[in-house]
Amino acid sequence: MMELLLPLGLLGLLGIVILIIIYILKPNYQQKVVSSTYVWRLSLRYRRKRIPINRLLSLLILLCQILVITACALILAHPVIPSEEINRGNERIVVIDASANMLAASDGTTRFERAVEQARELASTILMEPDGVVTVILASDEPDFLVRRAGNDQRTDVLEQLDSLVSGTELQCTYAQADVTGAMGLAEDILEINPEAEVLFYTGTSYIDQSGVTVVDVSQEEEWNAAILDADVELVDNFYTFTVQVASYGRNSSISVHCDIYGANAGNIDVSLVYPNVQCAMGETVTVEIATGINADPVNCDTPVYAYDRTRIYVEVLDSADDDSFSYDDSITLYGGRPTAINIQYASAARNPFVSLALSSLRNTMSLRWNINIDEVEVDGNSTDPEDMPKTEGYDLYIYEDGFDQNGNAKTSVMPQTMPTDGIVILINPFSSPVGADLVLDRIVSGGDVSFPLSAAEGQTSSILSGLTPENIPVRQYVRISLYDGYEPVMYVNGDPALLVKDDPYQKVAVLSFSVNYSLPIGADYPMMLYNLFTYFLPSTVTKEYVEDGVTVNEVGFLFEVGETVTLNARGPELSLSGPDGDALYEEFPSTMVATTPGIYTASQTLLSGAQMTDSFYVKVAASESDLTREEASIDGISFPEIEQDNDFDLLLYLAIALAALLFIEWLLQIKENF
Amino acid sequence: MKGSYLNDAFFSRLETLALNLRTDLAGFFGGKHLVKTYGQTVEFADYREYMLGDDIRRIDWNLYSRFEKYFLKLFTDERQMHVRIFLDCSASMGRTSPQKGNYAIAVAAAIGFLAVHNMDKVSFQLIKGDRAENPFGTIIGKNGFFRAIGELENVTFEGEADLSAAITSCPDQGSNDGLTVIISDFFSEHDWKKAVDYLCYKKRQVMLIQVLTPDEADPEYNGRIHLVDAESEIVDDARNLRLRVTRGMLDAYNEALKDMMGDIKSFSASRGVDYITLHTDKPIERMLFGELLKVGVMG
Repeated sequence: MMELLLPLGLLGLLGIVILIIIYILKPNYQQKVVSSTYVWRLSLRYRRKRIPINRLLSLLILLCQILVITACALILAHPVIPSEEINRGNERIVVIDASANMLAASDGTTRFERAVEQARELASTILMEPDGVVTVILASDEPDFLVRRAGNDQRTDVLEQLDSLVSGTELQCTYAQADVTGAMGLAEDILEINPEAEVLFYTGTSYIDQSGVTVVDVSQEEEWNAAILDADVELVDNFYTFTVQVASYGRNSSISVHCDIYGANAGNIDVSLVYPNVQCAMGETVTVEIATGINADPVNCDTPVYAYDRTRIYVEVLDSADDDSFSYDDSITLYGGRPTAINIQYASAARNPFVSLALSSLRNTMSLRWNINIDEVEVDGNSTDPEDMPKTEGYDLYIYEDGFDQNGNAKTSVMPQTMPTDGIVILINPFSSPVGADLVLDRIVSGGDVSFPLSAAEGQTSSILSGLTPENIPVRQYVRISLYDGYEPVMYVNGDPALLVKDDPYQKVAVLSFSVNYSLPIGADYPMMLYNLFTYFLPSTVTKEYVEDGVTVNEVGFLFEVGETVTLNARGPELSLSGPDGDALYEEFPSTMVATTPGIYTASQTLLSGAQMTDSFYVKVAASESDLTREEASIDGISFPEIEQDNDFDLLLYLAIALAALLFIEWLLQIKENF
Repeated sequence: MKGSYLNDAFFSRLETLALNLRTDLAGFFGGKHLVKTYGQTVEFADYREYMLGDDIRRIDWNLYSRFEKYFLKLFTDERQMHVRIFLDCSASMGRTSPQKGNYAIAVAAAIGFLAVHNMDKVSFQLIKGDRAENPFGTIIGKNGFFRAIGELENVTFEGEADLSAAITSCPDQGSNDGLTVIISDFFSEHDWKKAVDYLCYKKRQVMLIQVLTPDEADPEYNGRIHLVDAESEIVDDARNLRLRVTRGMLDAYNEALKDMMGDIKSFSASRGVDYITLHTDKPIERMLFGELLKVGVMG
């Protein structure tokens, strides 16, 4: 529909009345006395047949003049066609905070439910109007439109959409932090269409600078929250000490911090510790330490804990019989208190101290994560006792290394007849190829006193090379491997493969074609290579990745926040994950998942040996969501564009063209009539 | 009268001209116009045999000596012509355009001067209404002529003029004795052709002189015009017209005028009548000497 920006311009239509009056009062005829009208009367006979056309022309001229006046009046009135997208004045953009703190409940209803109810009332009222328009944005961790610029005709749909947020078994509120900036960005998209729309933000967070947004507070005064903000555990003098950060929001509280340790000290012992009477001033964070290694007040731990399966930490409110308003931060479960056992067999014809030392170093370095047991088997070639022979089952990692005696003669190969199938296998300097290894060996290549430098395979980005400089490992003698189907070359020596890796779901093999015995001098690169091979084949199941000082760090994780990325790895072909979000199966590694619900998650996998292995971790809500009285400085991500008329479709140009056309037509008609 | 064409220079240029008459003349008075009858002039015309009763003094004895028969010598005869000039004195001839009236009077005077200058008689018939007035009588000689002209200039153009009624009812029409000139614009509903037929019946040589002003020959006004006929007495007269004068209307006017003049011309040709059209915006000498010489009336 066309709108007039200056309706008074229509007063120009009075010109039509004036025109008609002029036509009526127009000086009829100019009197002229002629000698005789005789010839004129004769000429009428020639002219009479054209009279009807003349009358039509006169009417057309009058019509044109009326249209000209109308066009002028419309130009004065400045008509525009408002953009169909624009519905000014009665549009509301409703942003509903869907962060975790909106789950705080009081009087049986959560903030989120109150927000949805109020938004519903608003939408219902606005959409009763013919020009009412409502947009609903759910400000979750991934904000999106619930309803985009719905009009009066979509009222029922809008209300149903809003109802769907609070109907069903679970609210459509998240446990994560809301991306308010992103949500306001969406609102700004609508503001670009209609700058006059009002933005309402239904939240429990207060803002000092509301940036033009109408903040609707859905919190209630009686809300309060006693929360565990974070928890950590560390070994102090070989015994675990738990550090817990607690706080109370909405009021001062007296609480006790409970620490229930299950499976303590690798047994079935459960230890329950309490840190009593923690006085939490409103809004202040209190850090309590529960040490198991010392028996001291106020915890008084009788059983020092050096290992545990899991520890549940929770708070108990002492000065109130009522529960707090937000229950999702009342407890945390910690895992990682017991290292996983890893059995390694190192078999060699002559014990290589470099390998033994590297393995010992590995065991010590990763003692918190892995309980590494190393069995070294040295085969002298004289014994025929099967007990003295290297095993091909029962270990998680098999290392076989062939070698030479001091005279340079090859010793008896310790390579197994058949490749082990229940663990990872590393073949070092193999003189023979076990069945199932899929290797064809050529000959021993020796450089004498000259060393061959190692080099990384072109384009190789394997984590095996992380922190490693292959050129620092000189090789004077190696076994040339002519065929290696299914293996991926990681390093080369003298153009021949030096390190081959096979990482199939059911077979994980590394082949080193050289022995470090003949590769002097040597630095830290060789132990680093073994460390990388270990972590490559035996990764931690659950890790978290973060950037520290510009370096990406990937470390084992047992405690995550909602919305944080969890990296999953498996030693077997697949891994299943169960938790509050449901069950999931992963077959490609590393995989990542984002936990959206707080709680315990358990990852289960079947090892190559067929044994089941489980790892658990806990996902908690972000500490910032525990603060129910949070006050932010400003609402970011939104700016109200200036109201511009340019969105309207201006008709001035077209009216001007029409006016010119009418004037031209009128001129033509005048000529025609005068002709 | 203002803008009069009548002055000495005008008349002096006419002195070298004369009126020609194609028809025979009857009458008693000698003049300068040769007639078919034989008379007593000195100009030889023919011979004929002597008849009983002839005057023997007119016998040509030289022929008798040759043929021994009596022959008489015949001489040509010259008569005096009576030029009657009918001047339309209706309002259309001078009320709105004095120049048109002056022009018509000048033409009448010029023809009258030619007549008296050639020893012919002339009379001015002023047509007013349905009758013709002859206020100056028959004029012979220049003295009488100039007296008449002096008064002719004071003629007023008013009312209507019925040429047919005025001419046919005129008592002094004469018969076979000269030239009749009708000076008018011929913008009349009345049937002036009857008058011409009547004059032809009277064996008068007739000449029609139509006088037109530039506005009449080619009107240039346009727009909404209330055309008031000069001869109308009241505003609501049927002759008055309210017209939106457009270019097409002007074309129609020109077409009508052309048809009207063509009608007069063809009528005149069918009756042996001379017809000329004079435009008042052209010099009168050029019109007279050109148009009158062209039709052969003047020589």
